[in-house]
Amino acid sequence: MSLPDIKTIDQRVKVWLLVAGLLTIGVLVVAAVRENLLTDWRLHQREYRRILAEKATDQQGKDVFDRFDLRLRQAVVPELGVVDRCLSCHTGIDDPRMVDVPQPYRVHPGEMLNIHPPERFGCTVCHRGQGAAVTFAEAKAEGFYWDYPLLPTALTESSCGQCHTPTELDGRGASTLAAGARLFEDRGCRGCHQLGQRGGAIGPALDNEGLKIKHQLPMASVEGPHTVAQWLTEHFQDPQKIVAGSQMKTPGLNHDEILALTTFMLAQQERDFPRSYISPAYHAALSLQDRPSDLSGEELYGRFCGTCHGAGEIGRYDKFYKKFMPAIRSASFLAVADSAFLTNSIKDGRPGTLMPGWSEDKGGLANEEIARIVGYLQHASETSVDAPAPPSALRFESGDRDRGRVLYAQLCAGCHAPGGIGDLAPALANPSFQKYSSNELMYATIAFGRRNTAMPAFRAPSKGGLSDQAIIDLVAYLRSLGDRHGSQPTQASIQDTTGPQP
Amino acid sequence: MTTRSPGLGLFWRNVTALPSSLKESFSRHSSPTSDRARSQSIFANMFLHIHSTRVHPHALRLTYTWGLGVASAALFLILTVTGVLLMIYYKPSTDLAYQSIKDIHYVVPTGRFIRNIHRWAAQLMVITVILHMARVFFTGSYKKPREFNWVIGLGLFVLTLALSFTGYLLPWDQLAYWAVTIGANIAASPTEFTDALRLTHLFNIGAFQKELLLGASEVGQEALIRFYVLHVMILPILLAVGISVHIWRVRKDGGLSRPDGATTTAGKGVGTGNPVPQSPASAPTKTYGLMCVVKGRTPATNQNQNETVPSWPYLLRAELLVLMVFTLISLVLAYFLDAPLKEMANPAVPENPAKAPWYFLGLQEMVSYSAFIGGVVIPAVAMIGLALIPYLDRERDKVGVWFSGTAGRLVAWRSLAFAAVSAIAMVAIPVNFGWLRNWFPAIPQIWIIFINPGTILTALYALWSIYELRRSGSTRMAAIALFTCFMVGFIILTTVGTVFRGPNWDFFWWPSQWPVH
Repeated sequence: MSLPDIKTIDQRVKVWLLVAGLLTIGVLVVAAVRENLLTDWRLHQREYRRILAEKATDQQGKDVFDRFDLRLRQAVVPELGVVDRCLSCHTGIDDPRMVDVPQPYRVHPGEMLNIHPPERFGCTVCHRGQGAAVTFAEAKAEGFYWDYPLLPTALTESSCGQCHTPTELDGRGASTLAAGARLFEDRGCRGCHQLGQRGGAIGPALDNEGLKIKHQLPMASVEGPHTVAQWLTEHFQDPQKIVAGSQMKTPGLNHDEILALTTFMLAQQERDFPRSYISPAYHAALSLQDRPSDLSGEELYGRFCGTCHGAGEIGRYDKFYKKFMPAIRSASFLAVADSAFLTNSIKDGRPGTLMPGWSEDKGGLANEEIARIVGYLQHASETSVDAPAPPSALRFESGDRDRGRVLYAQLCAGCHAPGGIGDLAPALANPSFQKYSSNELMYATIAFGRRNTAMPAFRAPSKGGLSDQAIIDLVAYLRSLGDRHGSQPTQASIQDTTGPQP
Repeated sequence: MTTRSPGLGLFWRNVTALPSSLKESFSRHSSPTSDRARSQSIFANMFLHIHSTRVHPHALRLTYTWGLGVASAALFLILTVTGVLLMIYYKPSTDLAYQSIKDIHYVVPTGRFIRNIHRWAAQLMVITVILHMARVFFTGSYKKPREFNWVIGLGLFVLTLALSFTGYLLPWDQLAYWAVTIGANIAASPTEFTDALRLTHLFNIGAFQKELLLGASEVGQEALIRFYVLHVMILPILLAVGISVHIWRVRKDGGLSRPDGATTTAGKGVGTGNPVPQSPASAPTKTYGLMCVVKGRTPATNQNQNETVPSWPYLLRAELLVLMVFTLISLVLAYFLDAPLKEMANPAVPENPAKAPWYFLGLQEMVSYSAFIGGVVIPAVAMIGLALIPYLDRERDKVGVWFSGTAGRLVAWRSLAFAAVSAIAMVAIPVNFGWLRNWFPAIPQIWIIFINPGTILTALYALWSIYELRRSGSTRMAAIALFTCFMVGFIILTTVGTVFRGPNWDFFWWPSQWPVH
């Protein structure tokens, strides 16, 4: 337990104190040099000053050179919540002489800065990226802790959509965005996706797609950089590859179309900009809501229905959804389905199936538009149908549910699934179908089948030759499915039913 | 020049004497030239008065204290200075906080450096406080009359963690948001227990605690301002007062602990350790009754003046060295490593895994079985157990000796092996074979609350301590066993939580194996 002499200890303490003190001062000096002399933007501005001196051939150039001083430059736009320091390195963006210099000194291409001066718009409103940063890597912010990394140049047009409608900029600077908007309509994206409360409910609504962040999307299968833009691009190439089990069909787009659609998707941003920033056309589009549109029934069908139903004349098996899509324009269907049935089916859809509701509050279609679609359906190409009239005075009340059940199991369950829950063929227990279809419709469909679909005519001798009574039994059984089924999931739609209840 | 009047000469003398008279008036003392004058310098200075004027040179042994207590205080000083600087730019609002941290990082002069220093000094302080506690324990320095100072030290440890945790929220990034969400859910975890007892509807103490902590049901503006006030005002004041009392008591309890008979070359003899009133030879002839509080005419300290050295300059210089060393470490870390800052807090996008600050990850590891047990009961039991150690182990011999000698060293090694094996087993078994929920899917949660790797580990450590108590017949040995187990368990579980736990708290050998989401 002997201790060295206190003087020896103290001597050691003094030496180490000196060492620690000198090292501390050393670190402080190095840190000061790094911060005050060697920051990227200072180095860039020194280089830019050299370029300015080189280009100072006339008096004006000399003035510009004289006025240039080394300082942090930033665009501050409180209205947009923008503090962008990009200008600290991109010093030459507003100097037209800076065309033949390397980045980051080059002038901004095009007329954009005249229309959108940085002091009013900043930089990141259009280009995204981290405006607060003062190094390029962190401003670009790809693979960095920042939600909105710098947009690839090809996709910058997406930002126009924040304040402009795509159509007003078609041919005026944002043709890619406009092409994307057209593709969205023409390829029937609204058949599954809502945008502005108009569209189907099969896929997610896309109103804020452009503000999604990478953590909200599954990135595991994305091959390129893990950004939302890259996700969209690869997703449009092959939805199932990016999202396992995705309900979305491969849209079959070429490279340019994918770029356009990605641009349009990134433009979908719900942001609160001051009104003064929004283009008049955008206001007009918002106030008119662009609906009801003046699209024809055929156009509406193409946009909203065609994705699943195709031309609608034949009941086709959709390999993707593994279901027969009802042939809603087949003559034999239209022969038994009246306008009310069609209208109501479109309005309510078939809850629980792929068929979404399309009424104003569901899919965003106005009544006139639905009427136009119904009109288009009814003017099917194949007009002449030898629609056999159901025998008059069918006594549906005489149907025996139990006999019907046996028949159903033998003849129907193979496609419509036991209990009518639908499998390959439509769900007959569906409350909406039960609500709007008449007994006569069921009878006629069973008896005469649906031409051009897999539904045979069961009254035909070759298909079992069911008697009228047998068919009535089947109808009775089908009706019982509606009660059983409908009482649970969609109470509301059943309560409306005023028809006879067994 | 020769016709200068006496008045001017006087004035000129005063002007030339200005530096020395300023210095003297400032320090209330002229430059000390003798040991006694140096002692008086300490005595005459409010801040230095917290030290005794003379200390036993054993207190200066580096391998005894490792300077850890002073290091903790020094880091607190660094944190206070850098923290006040950060306060000038920080805006405690959910809208502005994140951007203000970005600005501090990118454009505020020295802002990035200061924030980095603050961050790393805070991490260092947690480490030094834990190590200081271990040093004090293993040298038996908690024994009478220092029992309560050990308890105060534990309070300072909790305050240090609370300061670090409240500071964690302030950047308002994803890291902060989800770490504090976890902390708040741990506060709400008694609900798990009251649910199992079906008592929640009577009084939901978990929800009450969570709301008390956050000021709302979710982490938001209320939580931010609460944490801010705690972080910059309430907790630092408590800590500063606590540190003062802590150091003051060290002095009142006769300076740092040391073994009986520690020799000194400063004086002439061998320390006795017995408080004997001493009348120093060099003391002024006039003595005082010390306000009639202390019996006798001199303070009763267990040190002979001849065995001690003046605190000024020896102790203060050594303390200054510790401050400088830890300043240097903080600066170097701050130069090379930036304090983390993730994306802005986004309640819609949970972090996976959402991890608490590293020093809570051992708890989070136990929380993964039962939030109530891991987050509330075991920490509470551990804290109460630590606080009781000086009262349950009152053996007076071998104070101030590392591990109380060879026997204790052996106990510590044995306990280390036992604690490590059982802690690793308690992690490995659930990882490889699952736990009760996997074996009996329908089992009521109450079983898992009481029987989970955390409770079993705690029980094993308690049993081990009892085993060592019976084996050695010494409460000190049992305490060494228990404390060693506590430290080893803490380190292993913290490491597992920090390194080996990935998304959904699944086990991974390395973060690079984490699945891309």
